[in-house]
Amino acid sequence: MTSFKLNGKAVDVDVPADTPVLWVLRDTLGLTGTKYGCGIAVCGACTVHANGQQLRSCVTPVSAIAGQHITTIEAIADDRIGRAVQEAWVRHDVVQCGYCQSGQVMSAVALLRVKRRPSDAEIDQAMSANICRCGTYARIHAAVKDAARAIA
Amino acid sequence: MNPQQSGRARARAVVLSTAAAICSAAAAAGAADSFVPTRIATKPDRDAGLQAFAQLERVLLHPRCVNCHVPDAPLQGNNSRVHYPPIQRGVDGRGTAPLQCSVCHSTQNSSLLHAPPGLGTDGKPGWHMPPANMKMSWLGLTGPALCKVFRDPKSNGDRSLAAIEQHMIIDHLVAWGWNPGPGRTLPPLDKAAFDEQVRRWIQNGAPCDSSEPLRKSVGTTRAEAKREAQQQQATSDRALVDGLRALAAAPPRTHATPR
Repeated sequence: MTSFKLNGKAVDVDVPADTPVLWVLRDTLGLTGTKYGCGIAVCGACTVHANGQQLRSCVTPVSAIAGQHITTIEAIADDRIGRAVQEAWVRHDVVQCGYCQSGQVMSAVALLRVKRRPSDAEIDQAMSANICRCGTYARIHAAVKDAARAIA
Repeated sequence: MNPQQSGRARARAVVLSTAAAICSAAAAAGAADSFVPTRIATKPDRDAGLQAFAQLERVLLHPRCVNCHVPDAPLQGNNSRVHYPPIQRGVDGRGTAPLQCSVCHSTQNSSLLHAPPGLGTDGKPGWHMPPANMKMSWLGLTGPALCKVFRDPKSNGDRSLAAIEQHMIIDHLVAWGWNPGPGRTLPPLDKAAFDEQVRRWIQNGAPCDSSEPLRKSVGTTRAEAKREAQQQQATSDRALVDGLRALAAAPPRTHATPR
């Protein structure tokens, strides 16, 4: 049994300790907003937050998040920064196919939590760990800048 | 098996037992307390020491070691290519927020090809580079230059020869080099042979070149240094308590009554 907080609520899951967090979220707990992309922590689609820090859930065993506060895309708009990013995403019409976007939003929020006014280079560096096959990078960059202005 | 089930099976196969990682970290902590450093021989043999370091050098320059012993950003893979994503060292060697090492490097190796490796330290992600104030970079160095960076406390993490030996032989991140997960080549010596060459180099005065004086002492391990500091503190505390007791036992001072 592994216990942690998921989007503010305590949860206990009875799964093998080596089950990846992604499958606990999607299969055990039914939160399918977090996506399976590459399965090897390269594309960023599976990004969640653990105690506020981003985490690739596809390669993280559930045992590693015991006792931590996990936030997924479903609850990202519960705070000011998450809401600002979500609204900027809509304003800039960032999404094309959408598959990578929950991971992109989670990474953008993680960036703005530690750097309220990121430079262009800092945005590029922080967001470079998330891949978008539709090539929405320019709109992602603009939306992150816009969200930063909104929370300034 | 449909693609989603296949993906799940692959992803489920990502991780090994965390319990094993915790046990290995605990075992390393126990080993650190009981570690007995090699002493320098009464008649050290410089040539034997230099030959031993030549063997160590082959390991130190292998991608499993050198990929993180670099000036700034880490390298990656068997051909030491630029790391993706573009992580930076950060002050503590654990990356810079929001891209810390632990975003991708979990508590254990993945069984999947090309997935990031990992290891646990006390159950938490333990992957890291040397810290910014002691980069321990030897990228581009060979021979005596590499040896001196490796041996000098000013560039090796403030380690005595005893502490270098301890780090090489029992540190679990060093040992990871011989258990790197699928698709990663192993260093040219096996771990036991590497440990033996570390001991041989130190026994023979830890030489780096053919002219400098051989080392005569290995110094202290980190645990020994800590114990010595604790003993010094205890001695100092006892002296203070003894002084206070003596003061309390002395006859009270009286002021002379003015006439």
